[in-house]
Amino acid sequence: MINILKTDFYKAFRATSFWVTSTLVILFSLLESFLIFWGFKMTVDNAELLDLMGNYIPGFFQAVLGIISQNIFLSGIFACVFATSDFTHGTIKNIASKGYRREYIYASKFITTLGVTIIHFILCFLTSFITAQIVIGNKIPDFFKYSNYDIKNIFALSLQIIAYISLALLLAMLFRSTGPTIATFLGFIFLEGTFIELIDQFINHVLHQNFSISAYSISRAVADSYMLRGSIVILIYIVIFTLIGMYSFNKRDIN
Amino acid sequence: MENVLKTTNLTKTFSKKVAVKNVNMNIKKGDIYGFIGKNGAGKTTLIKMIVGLSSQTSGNIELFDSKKLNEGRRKIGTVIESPAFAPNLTAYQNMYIQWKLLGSKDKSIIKETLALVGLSSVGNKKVKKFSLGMKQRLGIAMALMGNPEFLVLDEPTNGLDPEGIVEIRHMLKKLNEEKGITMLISSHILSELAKLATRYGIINNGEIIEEFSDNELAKRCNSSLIVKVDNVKKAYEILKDELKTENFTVLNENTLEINDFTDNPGLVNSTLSKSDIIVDSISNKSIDLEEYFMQVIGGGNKDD
Repeated sequence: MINILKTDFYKAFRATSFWVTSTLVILFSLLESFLIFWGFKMTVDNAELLDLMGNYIPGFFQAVLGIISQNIFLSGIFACVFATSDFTHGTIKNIASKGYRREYIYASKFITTLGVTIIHFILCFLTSFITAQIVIGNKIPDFFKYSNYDIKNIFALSLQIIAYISLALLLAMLFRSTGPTIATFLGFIFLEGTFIELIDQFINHVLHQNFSISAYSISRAVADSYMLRGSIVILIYIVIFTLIGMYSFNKRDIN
Repeated sequence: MENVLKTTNLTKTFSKKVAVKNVNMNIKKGDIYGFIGKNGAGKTTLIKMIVGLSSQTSGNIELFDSKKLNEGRRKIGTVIESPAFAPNLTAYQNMYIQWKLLGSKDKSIIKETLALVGLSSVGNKKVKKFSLGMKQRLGIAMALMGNPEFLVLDEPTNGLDPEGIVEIRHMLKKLNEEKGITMLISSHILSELAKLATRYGIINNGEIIEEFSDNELAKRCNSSLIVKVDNVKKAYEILKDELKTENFTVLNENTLEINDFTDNPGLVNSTLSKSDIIVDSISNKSIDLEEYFMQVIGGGNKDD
């Protein structure tokens, strides 16, 4: 297992997809954080705007979590490309024929993509932090302070990211081809909210039931006040995605 | 350890199609097993089951006299269908990945193996810039990483130029003789396989229809004696009366084809000479592995 993990990390850091997605994470974070923090600065400087905002400016940690969540798709794209690359290049044969259990091969891909996602997370955080320091500095009192609420949100966002990565890996194992995997993953990540809205509308207006499924979706499960329930929902998603992905990888032949 | 590979009633079905049917294959230590079959005969499916890329529907596989297949597979070097690499990495980096995967200790083996297959000068070149032959060499080099005891090579000389084919053949022969590496080689270039293999297996429609050694092949391929004599009529009588055979045909006024005594042409020569028949020439008419294969699978003569 350690040997596979070492080779996966070696390959990941030499993959073009790693450098492209990491560069995009920095660029997008820079752009988003600049716009957000510049907006904050403008608001602080403008009494009318501040009044309009109810004299409330979100803290750095609240803002940065929003920026990170906007960039999850890049880590997901990396996961899709990385997990399918062994299938598209045929190098999965070199690993699977060496007597390693398929579960270990899958776990190694999962850990490697999570490792890269953490790197993306850190890059995004650092870019936003540096931008905030430059744009805002000490202009807003207690701007860089964090609360328990922020820590809870970081935990929730981390779970959400793991769920998306496990989905990307599941899709990679099902399709074993980069194009369909990325297309399906991006379709899911960008259209999930719309689908939930549609289903909720259907439940409310056609079935006349006062029920919402948004609390059971990846993107919104931990967005409400039910942190524990939301975390359990996302953990269930992670377990289901991983089990299906492993099963698919285990049962199907490698061509 | 006697058997490197032993399969018992190994079967693989894809929905309703039987790709491999009750295969009982036995490869002993030191063998170079030439695995022959038409496209779609089941060669690659069988090889994939052996190396763990495909699961069998039924039957058993034993590697190195053990049913612990994962342990056995660590000792196998493989090139299946076509060698696989990360194209954006160099030959050395691809070798390094394989080296790391096997948890090897001595890094110098990477350069040594690249040199062995004649790629030491292009170790830092990206694999996507390699020719087909260079890729094939690199595939073999990767299979040799970790000092495997058993090499499973599917079309190892595919894409190589004639010089490369000879080099790879010599290298494989040397590995077999010096390191005692057992090999299972599937190839469509039967003339090459015949220069290398010590045992053969022919697979057709998923079934092993024949297994034989190189000595047996030599006997089977010596199919007849072509004898040129001055008096065919008299020779005809002598063959029937003294050598007690009717297994011959008269080709023309001074040539006979005898299907017996292929391993003892001297007896035919002396018997005819004793009866004052002048034997102008006596030669073995043999077929090669390719023709033999075509005969066995019922494809007729290769010239057909």
